[in-house]
Amino acid sequence: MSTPLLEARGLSKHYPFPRTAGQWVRRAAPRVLRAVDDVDLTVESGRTVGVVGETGSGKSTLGRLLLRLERPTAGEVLIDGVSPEEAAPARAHQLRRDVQVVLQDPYTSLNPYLTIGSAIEEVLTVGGMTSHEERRARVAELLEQVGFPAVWSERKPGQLSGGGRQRVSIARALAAGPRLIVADEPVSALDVSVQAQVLNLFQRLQRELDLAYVFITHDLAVLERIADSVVVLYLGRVVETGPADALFAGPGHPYTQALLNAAPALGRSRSTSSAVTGELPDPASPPAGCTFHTRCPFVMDVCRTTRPALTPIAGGLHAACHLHAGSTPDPQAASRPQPVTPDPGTPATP
Amino acid sequence: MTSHEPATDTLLLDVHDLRVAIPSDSGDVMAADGVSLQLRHGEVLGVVGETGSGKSVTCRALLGLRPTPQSTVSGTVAYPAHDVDDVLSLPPRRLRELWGRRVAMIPQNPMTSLNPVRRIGEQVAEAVSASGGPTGAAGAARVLELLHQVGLPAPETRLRDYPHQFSGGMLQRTVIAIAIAQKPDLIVADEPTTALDVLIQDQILALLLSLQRDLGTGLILVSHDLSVVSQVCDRVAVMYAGQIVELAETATLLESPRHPYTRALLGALPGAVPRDQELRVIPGSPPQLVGLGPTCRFAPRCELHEQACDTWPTSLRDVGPAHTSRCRRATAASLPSPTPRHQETQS
Repeated sequence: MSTPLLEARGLSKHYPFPRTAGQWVRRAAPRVLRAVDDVDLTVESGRTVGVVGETGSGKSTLGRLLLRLERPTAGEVLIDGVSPEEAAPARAHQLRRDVQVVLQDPYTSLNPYLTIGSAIEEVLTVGGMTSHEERRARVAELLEQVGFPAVWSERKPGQLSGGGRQRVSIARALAAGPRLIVADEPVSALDVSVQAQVLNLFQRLQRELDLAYVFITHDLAVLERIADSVVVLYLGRVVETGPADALFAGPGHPYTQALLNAAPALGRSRSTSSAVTGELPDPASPPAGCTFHTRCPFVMDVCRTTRPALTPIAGGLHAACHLHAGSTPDPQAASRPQPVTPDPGTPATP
Repeated sequence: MTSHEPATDTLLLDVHDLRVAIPSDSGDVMAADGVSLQLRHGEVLGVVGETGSGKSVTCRALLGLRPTPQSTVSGTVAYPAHDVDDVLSLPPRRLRELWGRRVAMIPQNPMTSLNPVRRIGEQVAEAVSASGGPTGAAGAARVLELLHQVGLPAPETRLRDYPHQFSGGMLQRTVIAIAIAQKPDLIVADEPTTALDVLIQDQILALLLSLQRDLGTGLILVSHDLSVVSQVCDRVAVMYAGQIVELAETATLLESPRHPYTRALLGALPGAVPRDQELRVIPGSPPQLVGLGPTCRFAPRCELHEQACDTWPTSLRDVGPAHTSRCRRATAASLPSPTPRHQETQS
């Protein structure tokens, strides 16, 4: 089997809280927030991995770890099977350029005083392109790739709409010649018609340039459209992962089922009950056992004490849920057209 | 039913030719331009539009609110069931009687709609006691009842909290409790779930819908998200550039849209289009809302645009039962498909 483009193994990021006076006296270890906890992730060349989760699930921290904007507490990120930290400097430089980023808010991620041409050109200069003419030509080419005429290189971000700015951000990411783009909620701030334009652009660039994406989003409809495989995060841990088709057709984890049930679907008349009750627990003090047990409609005694491991279930999926542990995968579960809804007796609100 | 008489025959809300003009250096910005709509008792109406379509300005005007003190608001906003002929000309004292008891608002961002230095319980109590409502022990009991009703966990202790101790979902529940405190006949919810995670959005929509059914309240749900609106609302109004371009029952609107903008929006939704098809892109961007004439505002971006569209003054026309559209080319039977020439220029 070939080496994946990017592989994260046992990736964790823990942020310690300041020690309280009592902990200081007792020389106790400070409490930590486990923003990302033991996450494995594999990105194959030219494919899209979707990362989905709520606020506080650690999805943005995971993205920052993949980009090496954060140093992991544990685990490693390999590109072509090599860790840039251990590679020779020139090779490390190239490996870093292989992974680029597109951020959520196009209004704050571009320098308002730089023309979009110079914003893109800067990346080329850093990349060692010394000839001014060469850079100019490449800027024009990149702008064209995202659907702008070359003359727009003299425009400032302020003259562009949100969608236009996001296209500039994409062109800037492309300037480094990446093989993988980590996109953190790249279409969340955009109106639906503009969002469509940017999503189409992502898909077209993938076909043309054989790009891989790690697409971080809270929007399942977007993921269903763009992702080949999906990682579902809850409180920093992977609760379900696997091929997107199987996951959307028959999610195995109650949390994924809840997300799919809760996502507003066009024209599906909704009931007055909700997919789950309760709110996201405090990530700084997650529940014992399965962290989802406080909201899970299928909670069992074992869930309150023992954390389930990711186990293979039907359809090539892996889920961390006691419903699947110890039993053979239930083929019915994977072919079920509609995810299981909570017991109708559950009250609409907590 | 409660003390409200569900007078189904009378309209709850009757808006006629509402115009909101915000003065600017380049002329008056017509944030709402000729909006007319009616709402029956207990009905749920969705208002959908993209950024800058005028949906928020319109809904605030339903409460007699104007975006800036310099803005001019014309037209009429009547609440026939309450013998209010025009909210826009009510003196402030009468307006205050209307707010809360007749019409209440759920603003978009719950983080900024509560007073950060007052306890949750006090803020709900204030809404309960307004306009001669119960105070003291009776008031406190009513506060608890309301917080239970909106599903706030452990309200007995949480009402002593300050807003910063609440999550977004809990804040939105509190704001909803304040909105229903005086049992209004109409709730105007402006993007009530936009700032929330999908599971919490689901809970808040479930809550709004169950309260609406239990109390028989009319509900206007403003959202940029056609999926959300289509799940909750009986009828949907689509706004573009300050105008309603199409208004129909939800199923009708989704199945047979009679305005090219609505059709384009439906084609742009990632969840509604098969994966192997490209999402629809609407070329161009919405017009500046200054000095626009009576002709179609969507024409420059429209796949059905003809020369005649540039001179034809638009108005909402009937294109079916309870179905109106501003498109010149829409008929009761159909909305034409774009000719190949148009498709080329669109891509």
